[in-house]
Amino acid sequence: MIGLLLKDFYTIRQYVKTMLIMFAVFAFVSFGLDNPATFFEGFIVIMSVMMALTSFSYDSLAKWDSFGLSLPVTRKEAVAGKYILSLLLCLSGAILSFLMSSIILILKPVEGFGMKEHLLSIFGVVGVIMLFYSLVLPLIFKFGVEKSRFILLGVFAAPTAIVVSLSQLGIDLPSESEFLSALKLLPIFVVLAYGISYLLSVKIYTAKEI
Amino acid sequence: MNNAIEIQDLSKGFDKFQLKQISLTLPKGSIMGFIGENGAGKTTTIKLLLNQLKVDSGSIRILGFDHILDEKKIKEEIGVVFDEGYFHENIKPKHISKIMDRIYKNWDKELFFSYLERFSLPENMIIKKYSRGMKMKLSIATALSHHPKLLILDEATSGLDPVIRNEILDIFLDFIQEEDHSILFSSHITSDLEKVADYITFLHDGEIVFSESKDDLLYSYGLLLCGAEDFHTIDKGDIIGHRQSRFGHEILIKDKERTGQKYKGLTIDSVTIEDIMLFYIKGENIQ
Repeated sequence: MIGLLLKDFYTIRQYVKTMLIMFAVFAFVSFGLDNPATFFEGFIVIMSVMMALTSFSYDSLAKWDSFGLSLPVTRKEAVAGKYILSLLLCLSGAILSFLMSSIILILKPVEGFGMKEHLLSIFGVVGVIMLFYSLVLPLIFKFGVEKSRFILLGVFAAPTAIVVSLSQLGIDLPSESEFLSALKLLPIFVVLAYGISYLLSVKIYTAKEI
Repeated sequence: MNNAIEIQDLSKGFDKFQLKQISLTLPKGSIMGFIGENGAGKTTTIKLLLNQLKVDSGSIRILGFDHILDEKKIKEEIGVVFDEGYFHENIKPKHISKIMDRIYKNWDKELFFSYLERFSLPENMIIKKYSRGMKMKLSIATALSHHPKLLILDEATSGLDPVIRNEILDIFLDFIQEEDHSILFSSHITSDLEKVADYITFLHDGEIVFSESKDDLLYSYGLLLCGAEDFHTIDKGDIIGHRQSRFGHEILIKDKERTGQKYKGLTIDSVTIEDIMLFYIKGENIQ
């Protein structure tokens, strides 16, 4: 399985480099924004998700699955490899973005957005990314990355649509304190979702005919 | 355990295609050519061997092991080459070595790099810049570098020029020098198989037409040539396939010696594997 991770690392390496350059450019630009930290959080969502999807795209482009499964690698290991890759991408993105925005926050403090808020918001973003992966990875194992792209749009659009329609119906969005207590439950929820999602993907991929 | 592959009554059904109860045995130390037109079921069979498709019924044993229960053990011992590269285009051969080193217990770095040198494959060039022949050689180098006992080749020489094909065939002949090494070689380039194969298995429309030693095949089958008048004197039961041209009739027959005795005076030519394949598939059925 480490071999598979290594394979993913080599394939997306070029992509990572491009992302890092973009990251540096945006870091520079973000000085002009009111709160650069939130900008970076948005950036890691895109970066992490894009790179995980890219690894799937490269696999399908190279018709890797068929070859990969002629190697002494079980299907379970192949699935586990992708789940670990996604986790690593999310965490390294979070760490990078935390470091970057901390530097910027020190250089250019934002009123009411101290270290605590900063950490909390990164924490929230990581949770959201992991929930997103929990939803998307089984879909990719089932339908392949190309078909899943359309479903992804839906997955992205649904929460926005819900929030918008709730406020239009006059239902109040949760208050800040409610939101914070929900955030406390997030880790349990994420671990559970990612675990179930993994088991589901193993089941899907084991039954799949390549 | 003297067989590299044993397939018993293997069946697999799809919407539009059926693999019907095929059985074949590849003895250790030999090369089996696996022929048949596109869509005859060769790749399906190989995918079943590799447990990439699920078997409907029948059994498969590879190197003496059950192909599902001992899947991982088997895959440590086999090398597979498909007709396309299957490596991501933006990585380099030296990366492949690092990846495979983590995947195979027996990965032999030195052997891999010695193959790269032998095949003139630059280790620091991204695969995207490789030609098709180079990619194929790289796949073969990869498939050989963990000391496999069995090679499974799915159209590994198609789309390559004759010079490179010959080079690759030489590599396979080298590989088979070890007496417990075996190769299952699916190809529709029958001339390649005529050069290297010990056995030929012919798959047509999901069924095995024959699975025999190549020498026996070439010795026993023949092409009987005759004019229209003689054609009517020939027993329909002796005709496997038939083709009519301006110059007369060509008839694929079996048991050259006996048939030759029976129709004295008629010419019987020797056949190639390709003739046999074509007459079975395209030849008009007389019966």
